Amino acid sequence: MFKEINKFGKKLASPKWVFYILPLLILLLILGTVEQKNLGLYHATQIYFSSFYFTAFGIPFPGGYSLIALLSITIVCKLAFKSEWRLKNSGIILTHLGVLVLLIGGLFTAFTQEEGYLYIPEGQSQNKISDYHRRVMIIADEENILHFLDIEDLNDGQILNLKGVPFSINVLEACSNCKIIKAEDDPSLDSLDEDVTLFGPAQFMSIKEKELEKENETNIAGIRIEIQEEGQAGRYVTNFFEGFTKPVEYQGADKTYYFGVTRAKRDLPFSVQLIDFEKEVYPGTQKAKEYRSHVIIRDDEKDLEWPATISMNEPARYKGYTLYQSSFDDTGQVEATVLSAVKNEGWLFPYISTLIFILGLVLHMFIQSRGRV
Amino acid sequence: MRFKFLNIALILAFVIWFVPLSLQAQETKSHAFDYEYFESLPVLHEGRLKPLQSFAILHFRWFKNQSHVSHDEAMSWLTSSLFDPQSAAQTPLFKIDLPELENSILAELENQGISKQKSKKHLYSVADLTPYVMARRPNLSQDELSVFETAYKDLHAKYGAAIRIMQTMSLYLPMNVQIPNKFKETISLPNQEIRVIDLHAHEQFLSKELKSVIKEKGDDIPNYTTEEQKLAQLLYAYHQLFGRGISNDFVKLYPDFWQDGSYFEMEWLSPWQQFSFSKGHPKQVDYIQHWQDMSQAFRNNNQAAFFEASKHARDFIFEAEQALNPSKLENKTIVEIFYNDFQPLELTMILYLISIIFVLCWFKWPKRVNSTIAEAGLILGAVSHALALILRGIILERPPVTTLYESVIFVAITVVLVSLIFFYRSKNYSHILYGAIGGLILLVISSVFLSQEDSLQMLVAVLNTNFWLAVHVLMITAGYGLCVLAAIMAHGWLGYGLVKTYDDAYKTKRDVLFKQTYFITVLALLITTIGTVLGGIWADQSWGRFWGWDPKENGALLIVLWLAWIIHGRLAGIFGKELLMYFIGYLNIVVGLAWFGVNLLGVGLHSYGFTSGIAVGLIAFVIVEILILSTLLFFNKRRV
Repeated sequence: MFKEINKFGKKLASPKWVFYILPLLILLLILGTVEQKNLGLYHATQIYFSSFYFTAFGIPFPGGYSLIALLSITIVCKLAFKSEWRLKNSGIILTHLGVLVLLIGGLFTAFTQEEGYLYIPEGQSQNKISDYHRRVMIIADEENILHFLDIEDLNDGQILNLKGVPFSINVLEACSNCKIIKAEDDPSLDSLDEDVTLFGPAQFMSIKEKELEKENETNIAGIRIEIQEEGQAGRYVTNFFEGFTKPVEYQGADKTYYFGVTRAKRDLPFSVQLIDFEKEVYPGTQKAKEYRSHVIIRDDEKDLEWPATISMNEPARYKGYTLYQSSFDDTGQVEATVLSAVKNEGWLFPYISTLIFILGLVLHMFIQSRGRV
Repeated sequence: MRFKFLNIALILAFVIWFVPLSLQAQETKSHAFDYEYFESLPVLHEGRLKPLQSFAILHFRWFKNQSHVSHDEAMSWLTSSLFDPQSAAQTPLFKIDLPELENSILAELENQGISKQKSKKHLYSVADLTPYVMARRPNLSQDELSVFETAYKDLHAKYGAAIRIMQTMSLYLPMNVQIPNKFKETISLPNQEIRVIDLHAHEQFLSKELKSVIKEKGDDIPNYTTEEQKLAQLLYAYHQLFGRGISNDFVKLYPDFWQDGSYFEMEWLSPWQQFSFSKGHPKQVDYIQHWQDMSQAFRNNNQAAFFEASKHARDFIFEAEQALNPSKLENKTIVEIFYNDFQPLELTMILYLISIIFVLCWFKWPKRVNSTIAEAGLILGAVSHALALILRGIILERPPVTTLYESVIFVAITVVLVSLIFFYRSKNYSHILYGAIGGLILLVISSVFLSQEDSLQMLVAVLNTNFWLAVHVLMITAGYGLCVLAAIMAHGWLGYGLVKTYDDAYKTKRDVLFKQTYFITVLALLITTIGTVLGGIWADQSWGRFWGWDPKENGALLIVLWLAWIIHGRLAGIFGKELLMYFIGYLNIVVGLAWFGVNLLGVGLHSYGFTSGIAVGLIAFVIVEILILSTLLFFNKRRV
């Protein structure tokens, strides 16, 4: 058994595998990069790089995860079954180990990293991270949020019977990017059944699915639902979308319910208050030289607070989260900062791998320069 | 009040139809002015205090769409634009390369009854273009512009910049109008010239007078007396110059002195801004006076007085700067003027070319004189090349590797220096050839970017960190340099194989070259991989993610993967020597695509400018390289 594993491992350890995997990775890289022109960075990355496979002409092709996993396996096999652990090979071994750590770290980060942003107007505090990409429908009653439902998971025609919600919700249309139109411009509303009543924003506006924007952040998710409640005559239809100014109210038989679409949010284990946002430009131009947010980080659990300055290239780190100066908003009455908040348990991998890799290649070059090619 | 001028304005439009032209024209000048001091006066432009000379060259190059222009001509144009805009408006300035646009301009002029012959050099003046720009308003707001629209937009931007430069001093320049006799005593005129600044205090009073004329005689100018017509023309010209000038902040020539006589290094004002909201410190008045003296002397065609006034202005501003920031501005100005005048990169190219010629001569006639000149050419070229980079670093106070232009220069010196190292280790003159060819080709490529951007730029916020620029960008560009050199050497190795019969010495040389090329390939893998990973760490520090699949990152990764693939092909025994060198030769293409090609996509955080001309060049380069390498491989294989 061991012999067979050893034999199989040795086969996988051949540089031939790397030689055949790399062109696939090169092609994938070119394809995923060129496609960014059409799809935008987020969607191209999701399809080609952050995937096990993708399909083209109905044929599945290996995606970034699969190729990186295959590459990692051949390197593991090389180190375990083929490499002679001697000083003269130390450079090569370390180099491959460095690459392995980098690849494993990359996969680990891809599956575990949490990323989002904090939008904080001057003077205000924020302790919730908004997701850059995930949009959710919120259903709440007068006291609690009852459900968060990912918009992407909702399909047209799907009927939702949710715990704690005494009515059924029929998803009429869920769009990841909606065009907002006037209700009178939507012909589908002209032929509604007699028992259907429009309520909330649906009385004056409607939504239509439109092509996704290249920048996923600029898409406006929305949904149209039909509510049917036992004991209530007729059906009630409304639609709402991301960025709509207030939650949509539905007067149920027992109490009022609220609906909305928003970015998915997660709790931050501390809060950040923006004291002042500064934007510095090169004199006589609009070219930004520096952005800076003066904040107070407050940890209620530990009853601690302290001031910090977050600027380009100088983030603040606390409790596993790193806060970066990402953007700003000076369109409102007060300036607001946008900080990206990243929790990446695997952030050390690239640093360690770089050290191992550099050490390995330097050793290799040194040994090679004293020996043969 | 101004609305009532509308009819008058329409009637007067044919008299004084264009703003800069409403200023008084001067007699033709001999252009023998000495700009030694004038060109070193500072101007705040695009976030950096630079000498007027740099400002002039930069714009002149842009307008003329040329990478090299005469510095004297550029200074002459700028001085004339500032002090005698009406003459400057007649200077052929804008090069129009797109025949469709040129024909459209000529057709419009003909349509308006203006006779204009097609320029042989495709150069047109502000005066030539004004009727066209005024008449044509294409919709340029959509994302995708046609070639014609892009060219028009570009021309419009250039025209706008030239006009703003010509309006810079319009506050202080004599106007092409007359004062009605009855006001001659009320309005005091220094030098008997009518200028906006002198009229400003009397504007309300004059407008009141004109208002009463309009009330009495209406808008119909021919009903006015000659004196009343003079008044109408005077006020119209004043309002035109004032209205357009007051928002002009393009050429910031004056420091904004504070009450204590100091000023903030980066708070400079255009003459119109200074007029609108300056604190009016006596030093400011003095400096403006120096400018007025220069202006006066220029218009009077008095070279000696111009030279003297510009010397005073320069001494004055450097003295003021000295107290604030000892010697910094003066030294940087000296360095920048030296850089502009000495043109170290042009010299470098000449030296590399000499080196190529003499090393080829040495191959044919191995005489000592040939090898010495070839060697000296490359060494002196490298010195002047390095000097260029050092001077740029001093001027910009950062590592000179941030724009596409600078990165090409840096890659070029990497190629040259590594070649020199190999030359001294092996004494093989082929390395002189590889280094000189690589350096020269890359510098020629770099000059393409000169007409398109200020090569001495300030950095956007995220790149504005010297530490990461130094470690990541230097590393990655050095890696690109090694790739280019390895590719050139691989071409050389394949070229060696074309010889049908050779002796042992020749074979040994070729084997050594093979080893050296392979060594550089491995070294390139080391450097580009470390550079790429360091880039990831920088991104992690700045943006919170190590890797984001941004096109520029992918470009760098593409090179790493290509290098790793070649080396594993050799290790797996799949590539023989010929195929290995063949694929190393392709590094040129891979680097070209990763470096310039990704900018074609126009997405991502890193993109730093691109034009379609480069796309055509890149495609041509790829095709030519494939043909060359495949031909070399074919003959090598046949020989084997």
